[in-house]
Amino acid sequence: MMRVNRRVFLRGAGTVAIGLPLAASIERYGLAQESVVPDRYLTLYFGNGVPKKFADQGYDGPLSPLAPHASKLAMLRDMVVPLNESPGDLHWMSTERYGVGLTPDTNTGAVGESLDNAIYGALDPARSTRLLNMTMHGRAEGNPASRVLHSWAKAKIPNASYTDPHNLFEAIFGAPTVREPDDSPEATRAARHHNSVLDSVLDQYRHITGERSGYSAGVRAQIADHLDLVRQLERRASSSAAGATSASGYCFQEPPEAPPEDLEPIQFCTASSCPTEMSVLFGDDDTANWNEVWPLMCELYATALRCGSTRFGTVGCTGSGDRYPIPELAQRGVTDSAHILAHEWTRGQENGFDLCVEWLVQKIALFLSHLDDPAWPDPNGGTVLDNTLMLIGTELGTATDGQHAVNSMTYWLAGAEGLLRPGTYDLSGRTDVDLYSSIARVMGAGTLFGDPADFNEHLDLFTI
Amino acid sequence: MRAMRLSWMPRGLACLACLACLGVTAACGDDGDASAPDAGDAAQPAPDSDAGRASAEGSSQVEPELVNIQRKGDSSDLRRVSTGPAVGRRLSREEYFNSIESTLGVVLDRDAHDLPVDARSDHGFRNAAQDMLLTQEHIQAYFDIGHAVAQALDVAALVAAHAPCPEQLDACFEGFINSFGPYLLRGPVAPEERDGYMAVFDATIDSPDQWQDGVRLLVQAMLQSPRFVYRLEHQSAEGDGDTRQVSPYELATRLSFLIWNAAPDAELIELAAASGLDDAWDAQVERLLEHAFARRALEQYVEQWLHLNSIPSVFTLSQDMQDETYRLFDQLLWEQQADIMSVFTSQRVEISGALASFYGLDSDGDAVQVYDVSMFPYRSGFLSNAGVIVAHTINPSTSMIDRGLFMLHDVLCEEVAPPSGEALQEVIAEEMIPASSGLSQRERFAMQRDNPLCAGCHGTFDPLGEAFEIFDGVGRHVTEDEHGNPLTGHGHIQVGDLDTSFEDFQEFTEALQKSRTVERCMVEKSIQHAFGRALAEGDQDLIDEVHAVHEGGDRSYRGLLRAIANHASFRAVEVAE
Repeated sequence: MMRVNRRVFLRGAGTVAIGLPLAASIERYGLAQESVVPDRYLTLYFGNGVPKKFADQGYDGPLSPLAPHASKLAMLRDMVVPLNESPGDLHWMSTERYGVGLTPDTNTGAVGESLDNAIYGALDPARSTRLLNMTMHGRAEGNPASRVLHSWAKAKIPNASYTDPHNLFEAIFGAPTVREPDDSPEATRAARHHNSVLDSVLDQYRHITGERSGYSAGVRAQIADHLDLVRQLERRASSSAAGATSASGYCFQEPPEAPPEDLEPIQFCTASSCPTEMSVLFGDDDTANWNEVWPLMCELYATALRCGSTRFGTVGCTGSGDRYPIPELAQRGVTDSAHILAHEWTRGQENGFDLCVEWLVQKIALFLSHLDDPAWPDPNGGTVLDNTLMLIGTELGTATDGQHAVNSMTYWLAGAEGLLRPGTYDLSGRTDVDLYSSIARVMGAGTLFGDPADFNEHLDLFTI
Repeated sequence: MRAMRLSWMPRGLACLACLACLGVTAACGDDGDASAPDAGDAAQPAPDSDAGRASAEGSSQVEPELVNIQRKGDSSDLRRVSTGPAVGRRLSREEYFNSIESTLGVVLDRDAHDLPVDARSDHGFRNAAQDMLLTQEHIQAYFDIGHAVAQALDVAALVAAHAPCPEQLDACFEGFINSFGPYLLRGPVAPEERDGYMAVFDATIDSPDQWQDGVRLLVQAMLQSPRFVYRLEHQSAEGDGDTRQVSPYELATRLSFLIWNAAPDAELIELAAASGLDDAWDAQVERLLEHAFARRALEQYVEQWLHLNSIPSVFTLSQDMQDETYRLFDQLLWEQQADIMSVFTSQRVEISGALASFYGLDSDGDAVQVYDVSMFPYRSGFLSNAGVIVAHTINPSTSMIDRGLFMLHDVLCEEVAPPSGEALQEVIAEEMIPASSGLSQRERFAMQRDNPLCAGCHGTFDPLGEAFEIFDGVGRHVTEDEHGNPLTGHGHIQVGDLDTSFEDFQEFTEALQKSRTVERCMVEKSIQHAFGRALAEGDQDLIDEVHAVHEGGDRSYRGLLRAIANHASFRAVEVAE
């Protein structure tokens, strides 16, 4: 288990993140070249929905934290996720469908690739950059596959999502140690062993996936999925052996200072130790998680975009099954979790869900502020937010007295390098597939994304 | 008739569904159009399939022995066995670590490795092949664990029985692969597989004195092999929809995972290699049942069946609560080999001092000991264990709906349709009675059931939850709710063969303990776990037949495992088209 001093880590991470030069990444990824089609795409998910009443208030009600960014946002109201006639619980079904556009079959994962993955594959087939996902959520109920994962390589195969800033940092900038090329005989031999074992493993999986292996097509397809992931591991290993420490080429030049002895080390959560409670960096202190960890993750992710370490990904801001009360709201009489409040919200009997949504939207606004920081202009003079097509959305609309609903859905689009026409759009009857297909089209990743049966037409939101 | 399953509904939502009087559409209680698709339905074997046909013609892999093995049943059994769809079953987290222990004897600190915990499937367990996610974390973890295991091996001891190492290096390696490989890969090593493993040596071993490193690398690679990570069974290219008998290796693997939740050990593999498993079948079943691995497997089964890992870790007594239930099952079903239904009414409470104090018992220090709870009749069986109650509670109140649905789905194996439709939402808006009314949950739900749209399903599982009203959100006994309404736990249930009134929780559990419907569900759950998939209508004969054998025996848990192991379905595999 990784143990890192919290205070030292936060200080060290912030310093390095802020201090990274930008020029090299601009040159590397060609961001100086004008492009008609935006070349960055992000999906942002937040949990538990926005009732229509809140959306109808525009940026004057619970959504007011987004007001500073309104001039760069298109708010899409009254849309629908065509799930109402589907058997199953609307909450996990709509969560799994978010960014995918296909109706799931069980609460164990989406049934197709997600929009970020598709756009990544279309725009960066050589994988010159990485798909980067991060998720912050609390003590979630239910299967993470149906509650907190929103980036899918294919059906039931989620893309990795970083859930704590330490791992996110290392993913972007490399490990916080001096990384001198190690060409010692021992290191060379270890690398050879490593690669040899992986080669052998790949051979074994290839053998099973062969038509003459004696296994059914279903089994061979299943093993082929596994083979793909082993290949990814091998590629990472090869990259590491070649001396690369991160996609951006940056890494610490100095090791972090030793933690003072008077500070208690913190223990990072891992997938095995808290699979449904990721991001419990500060234990049960949800206030600390959201007030300290989330801003840091936002800054790290924004820096990754500025530096070209990533151009595509999904950001999760809370999970659909989060089950913790928000301490800051307790003083205002709101003691239930967002999930419970979303269930119990009624038009005539407000229960504090408006405060909860406002709190949540503050977190999203913070992320947008990082992306919209004019101190880090792109070569065309715009901010990262200006030049990144971003989908912001949630899985629920207006709950009806305890029952989740997927009508009156609210989404936002941002960025798109001047192609997006900001404003407020009432899109009654238009589906999530209409929206996803519109995004795919403007990104140059096809014209239809999601279930064809749910497609009506592309949305007139872009100046193309 | 069985209606659409409600198991899709996340545990937490169930209670909220109740609060909102989530009845169902007209399909409630009906297995018509509203029935959820069930993966098991589409893959039942053809009724006129030929028995024993088996060949992987054209395969370049070493063929498993597909010839018929001697079976205890009539060969015609294969015509109506339940095989389920042909899928590769990735080992669950528990199965993977268990298998490292059963094959190599290496015991790892499981918490020190980031192999993800598998998610619980709709049917309640975490080993359903078709619902198991695979992520990059798994791949990295397999690599890292393989390395850790390899480093922990006593290589000299391991190779001693297999190959002339290190004197003749090439023969050492090749011999080791051929001899040792089948133990880890659960079957013979194909020539091309052997060549692949030899390449590890060729690429990495510079001198003879590095031979032990080579063996470690080999083991590291094998532990990541699809033949270790997955339970793969050949589906012959011949035939279309037929079933065949599994090979001796496959049978040994099935038996070991059934009883140990782990891969077969050397003795089983050697019997399979010698085609001697069937002759030694009964003895091997008993040998496995006597092993400590079997005891651990029972605990792992109970943990999944009762969702005990969902007890929030923030509970100081979380582990103590789980241990109470494990000890109850271990003592009754393992030590005493009692009737499996005894767990419903036993008042044997072996708990920590802290949990005893929590229950209001006079504890004598922190040590685990057996307590007399005869003065507390509501402490009757595992359903009164605080851990079981907490695992099915989502708020500080009694969570009657959540507990009722757990009972319906996991203890009675009954299902109800999920709520859906906009019309239903209107009903909910009209019928919902808020907690602020001051009425008890029981009273509010009863009023909501006046609406026939709600009554269909809630009439089934609400009464099951009402029995639990005497336990608060953390499993403590309460006699009145927050409004001062008295709580008694009385009620009337009408599910399956149960049509009975009860005055308190003890009578409730006694009724369950005598119920054949509940016993059949216990059988069904064990089969589900053993087969790693949801059961479908086509599996009803399988359940009934195993149940009949179980009833005709000593009704013990071991007897149940024997009945599953001896059923024809346990030896059948679907032949893919």
